[in-house]
Amino acid sequence: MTVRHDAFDAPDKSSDNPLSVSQNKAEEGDAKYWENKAKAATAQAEYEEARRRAAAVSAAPPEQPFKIKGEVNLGSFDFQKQTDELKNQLDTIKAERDQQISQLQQNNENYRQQMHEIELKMMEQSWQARFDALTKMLQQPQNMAQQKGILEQLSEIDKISTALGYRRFSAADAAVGGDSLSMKLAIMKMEAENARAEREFSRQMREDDRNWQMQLKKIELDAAAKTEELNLARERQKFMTNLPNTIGGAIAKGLLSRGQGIEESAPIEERVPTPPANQSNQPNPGFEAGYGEAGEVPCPKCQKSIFIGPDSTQAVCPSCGGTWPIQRRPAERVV
Amino acid sequence: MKPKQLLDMGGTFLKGLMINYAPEMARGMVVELLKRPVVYKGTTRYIDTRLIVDLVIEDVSLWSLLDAKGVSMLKDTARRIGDIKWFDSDWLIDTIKEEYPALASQFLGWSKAREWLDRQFVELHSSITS
Repeated sequence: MTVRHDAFDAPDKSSDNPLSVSQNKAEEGDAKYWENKAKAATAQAEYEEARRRAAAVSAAPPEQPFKIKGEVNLGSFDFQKQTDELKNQLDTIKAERDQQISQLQQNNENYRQQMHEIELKMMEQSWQARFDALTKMLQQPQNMAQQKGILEQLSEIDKISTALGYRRFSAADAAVGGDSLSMKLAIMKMEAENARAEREFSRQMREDDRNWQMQLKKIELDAAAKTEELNLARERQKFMTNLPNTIGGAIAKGLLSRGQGIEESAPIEERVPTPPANQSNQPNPGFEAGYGEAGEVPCPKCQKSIFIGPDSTQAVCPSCGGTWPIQRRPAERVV
Repeated sequence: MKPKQLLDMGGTFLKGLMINYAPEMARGMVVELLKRPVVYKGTTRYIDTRLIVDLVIEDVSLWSLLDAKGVSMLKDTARRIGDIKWFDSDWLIDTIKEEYPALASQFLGWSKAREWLDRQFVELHSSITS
C-alpha cells in the first residue's frame, strides 16, 4: 500500500478536521491499489489470450498460393459445312423459284384454254341455234305456203332471229357497229383479262427476281463476312504463334544495337548468291557438278534454293524434303 | 507500387516468358543474329553458304566470328533458360529453313558442314556449362 503523506504540508488538510482528511486519503489509496491490480490482472489475461491465438495461427498450415484454373473454348468453325449449307439453301430457293414460275405459266395456259373454250362454246351455240331454226323452217313448209299477213311474217322472223341469238336492231346498236358487238366485247374483255393476268405474271416474276437477287446478295454478304471473320481469326492465331519469335528477335536486336556495330570496322562484302550448278537433263532429276564444285540451285520440286556441297553426293531440300543425287564430272570452277 | 518493384515484376515476367517460349524466342534471336555481318579475314561478310564453305573447310569456329555481344547474349539466354538440350543442330536447321533455305540445305546435304555445325554446338554447350 502506498500512502503519500507530507507531515509538514498536507495539501488536502481541512482546516475544520485535518485528521479526517488524511484518513480518507489513506482509504482512497487502498482502492487505487486494488483497482490497478485488477487492471493488471485483466491485461495479463488478455495478453495470454492473444499469445494463445497467435500460437494457434502460426501452428496452422500455410495457405496454398492461389491458382487460376479454367479453360476457354473458342468453338469450332467448319467452313466446308457452312458452305454446304449455303449451297443447299441456294438449291432450295432455286427449286422454289422454278416451281413458282412453272405454276404461273400453268395458270396462264389455263386462262388461255378457258378463253378458247368460251369462244368455241359461243360459236357452237350460235350455229346450233341457226341450224335449229333452219330445220324448223324446213320441217314446216306448209306454213310457208299459207298466206300470212305482213305482221305475222314479221313476228315469225323476229322469233327466228331471237332463236338464232340476234336481237332487234336499235339506233344505239347502229351507232356502235352491229350484231357482233357483244361478241367483240366478250373477246376484248377476255383479252383484257388475259393482258391483266400477263401483267400480274410479269410483275410477280419481277418481284420474285428481286427477292431472289436480295437473297443471293444476302448470302454473298454472309459468306464474305464469315470469310473475313475466318481470315481475322487466322491472322490473330498467326500473330499469337509468332509473338515469342518476334519478342526474341526484338530482344536480340535491342541487345545487339547497344554496342557499336562491326560494320564500320571492315569493308563489307555484298551478299551474293553462290553461282548455281548445272541441272542434268536426265529422267531422274538430279544435278551435275564438277569435283569440288559447290553452289546454290533451285529445288526442282518447290523452287526453293538448295545447296550442293563441294564433295556432297546429294542435295536435300529443307522445304519439301526432296533429295536429289549429284553426279560429279571434272571440275570447271572450284569454290 | 514502386518503380523497383515494377522492374522486378517485369524481369520475372520476362524470365517466365523465356522459359516457356525459349525455343521460339531463340528462333527469333538466331534469325536476327544471322542477318548481321561478321568479320572474316579482315572482310565483313554476311553469313551465307559461301562463308560456311570457307568456315567448314578451314574449320573455323562460328562463335569466334560472331559479335561478342551476340554470343554472350546467346549464352546468357541459355543460362537463364536452364534446360537447353533442344538447342542443337537439328533445331537450328529447322529454325533457319524458312528464312535461309540454302543454309539449311547445306547442313542437310553436305556431311562435312553438318559435322562442323555439330562441333559448334558441342563447343557452345561446353562453354555454357563450364
